[in-house]
This record gives sequence, C-alpha cells and structure tokens, in this order.
Amino acid sequence: MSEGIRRWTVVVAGCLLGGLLVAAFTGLPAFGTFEGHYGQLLVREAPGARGVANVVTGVVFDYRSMDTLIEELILFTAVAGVALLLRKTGEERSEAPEEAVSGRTAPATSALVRLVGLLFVGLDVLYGFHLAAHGHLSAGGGFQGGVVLASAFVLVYLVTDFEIFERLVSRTLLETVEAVSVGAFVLAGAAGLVWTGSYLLNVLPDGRVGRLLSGGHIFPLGLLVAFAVGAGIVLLLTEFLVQALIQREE
Amino acid sequence: MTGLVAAGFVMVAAAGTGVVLTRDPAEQAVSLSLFGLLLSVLFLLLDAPGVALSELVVGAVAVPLMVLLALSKAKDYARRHRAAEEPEEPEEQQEAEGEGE
Repeated sequence: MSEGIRRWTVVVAGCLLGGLLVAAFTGLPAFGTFEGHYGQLLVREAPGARGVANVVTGVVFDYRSMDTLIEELILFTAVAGVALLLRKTGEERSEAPEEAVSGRTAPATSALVRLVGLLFVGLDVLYGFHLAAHGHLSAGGGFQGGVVLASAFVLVYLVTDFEIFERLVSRTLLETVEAVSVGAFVLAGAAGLVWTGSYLLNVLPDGRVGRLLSGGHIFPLGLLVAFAVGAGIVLLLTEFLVQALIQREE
Repeated sequence: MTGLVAAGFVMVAAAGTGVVLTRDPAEQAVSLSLFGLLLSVLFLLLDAPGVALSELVVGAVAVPLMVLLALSKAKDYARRHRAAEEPEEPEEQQEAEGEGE
C-alpha cells in the first residue's frame, strides 16, 4: 500500500472514530451524578444487611466475592507464570554482572535515603495491616493492604542491597504464604457451600456496624487476600530482580 | 466539578502526554511513575481512596520498577552481545577514556 493511501486511510478512520467518540461523550450523564440503581440500592441496604461501613469492600468481598476469588487466581496464575518463565536454567549462573561487564559501580545509597527508608518500613507494614484489617470499616481492603505490604519490601531493597534483601526475604516462605492464602480463600468458600449450600456465602455473624469484628467473613478474607497479594507482588519483583543479576553462560 | 478536581484532570492529562512524548524507555519508566502518582492524587480528589492506594503502589512503584529491571536485563544482554562481536575494543571503554582526557 502506498504512503498516500495509508495516510488517507488514517485520516478518514480517525475522523470517523473521533466523531463517534464526541457523540458518545455528549450522551454521558453530568459530571458527578450517578444513575446506577443497583449501586444506590447497595449504598442504602448494605450497611444494615451485611454490617459493613464501607460499601465498596462489602461489594468486593461479599456480594461479589466470587469475582474477587477469580481475580486473586488471575494474580496467582500471573505470578506462577513469571516464576516459571524466569526460573534459573542450567546454563545460567548467579553473579553480579553489572560491575564485571560495564566496569561501572552503582552509586552507594545515601545515608538520608537509608534513614528515611528504615523509618518508613515499619510504618508501611503497620499501614498495610491496618488497611487489610479495616476494609469493612474505612477505605482500603485486602488488595490495598497487600500492595502496601509489598511496597515495604521494595523499601527494604531500596535501603539495603540485593544480597541483604535476598537473605532477609526467603522465597520459599513467600511462595508458601502465597499458596496457603490462596488455598485458604478457596476453602473458606467451601464453608459457605457446606453450611448454606452456596459457595462463598457468608457464614460468620455480621456484628454491629463499625466494630472491628463485623461484616462477617470480610475481615478474615481481607487478611487472606492481603497476604496473597503482598506475597505475590514481592515474588514477582524478586523474580525480576534475580533476572537482572543472572548471567547467561556462553 | 471543583477547581481542585479540574486541576487534577489537567495535571493527569499533562503527565500522560509527557509519558507518551518521553522516548527513552528508562526515562519513560520514571515519567510513568510520576503519572501514576498524579493519577492516584486525582482518584483521591474524586473520593476513591481505595483505588488511589492501589494505583499509588501498582502504578507508581511496581510497574516502573519492573520496567527498569527488564530494561537493565535487556541492556546487559545487548552489551554482552556487542562485547562478544568486538572483543578487542569495547565501545564503553573508549568512551570512558575519552571522558578522562
């Protein structure tokens, strides 16, 4: 296809798609208004019906807990896939190749970064657990708690170097935590199947709105998801970190 | 729409354009991180703190870090291949000597 025809095809297709986009935007509801009846019903009914102060988490871990389980399995599959693809093969050996190949050394981490980083590692872990445990009460939930916990590990890597990071963070432990928490979520769903006849239906008491132990199974499921997501993301990053340090034998 | 939210939208649009216009992949990872930070601020302004937290860690930390690590691996690989092709005078060393003089 000649250059001219290609250009005209792009112009015509762009105009058509742009026109459709503008037409679609004119049909949008006004900014800040929400006309979803299902959503409005949930905001009205969920706190009383399920004992949750945070309706978003109520939807994610109760009304739509099946979707959450499948999302967690997607993350699990992604992590397992990365671990499988990036595994160390027979012709690779672990070494610090950076200096050997380029003749450059990475600049040392500054004292200020180390100090601030160390200060924040503890706070980060605390905040991660807070988010995971209070998903039914305030903003947050299992996924958010998990990614914040994972970022604490990134901070550890930032303030130390990879050798120390690898010694502190056992991959076997991470893999175990990941597998056990995903498995426990699946089994927790089976409890609903046994007692109520429906998979993942809540079997725990709802409690009073606003209490830590309320919202039925949202509290334990949130913690399980936080462990699974946190371990999964740290495993993912560790695999990439190890790859950056592996040398292929020639 | 309040002025703050409007400012948030403008910042995210500007940062997004900036990411597209950054052509060097390593620099793009850093600008992507800044974009993630601004996007999470916008989510917070739009009363979505949960999404803001996820975006902050995934968009501003995890994805750029993975991109940087993958780039470092790819560059290392390319360097090794070049070194294997011209074993006598590696390009890097010449540059380093030039800077020294």
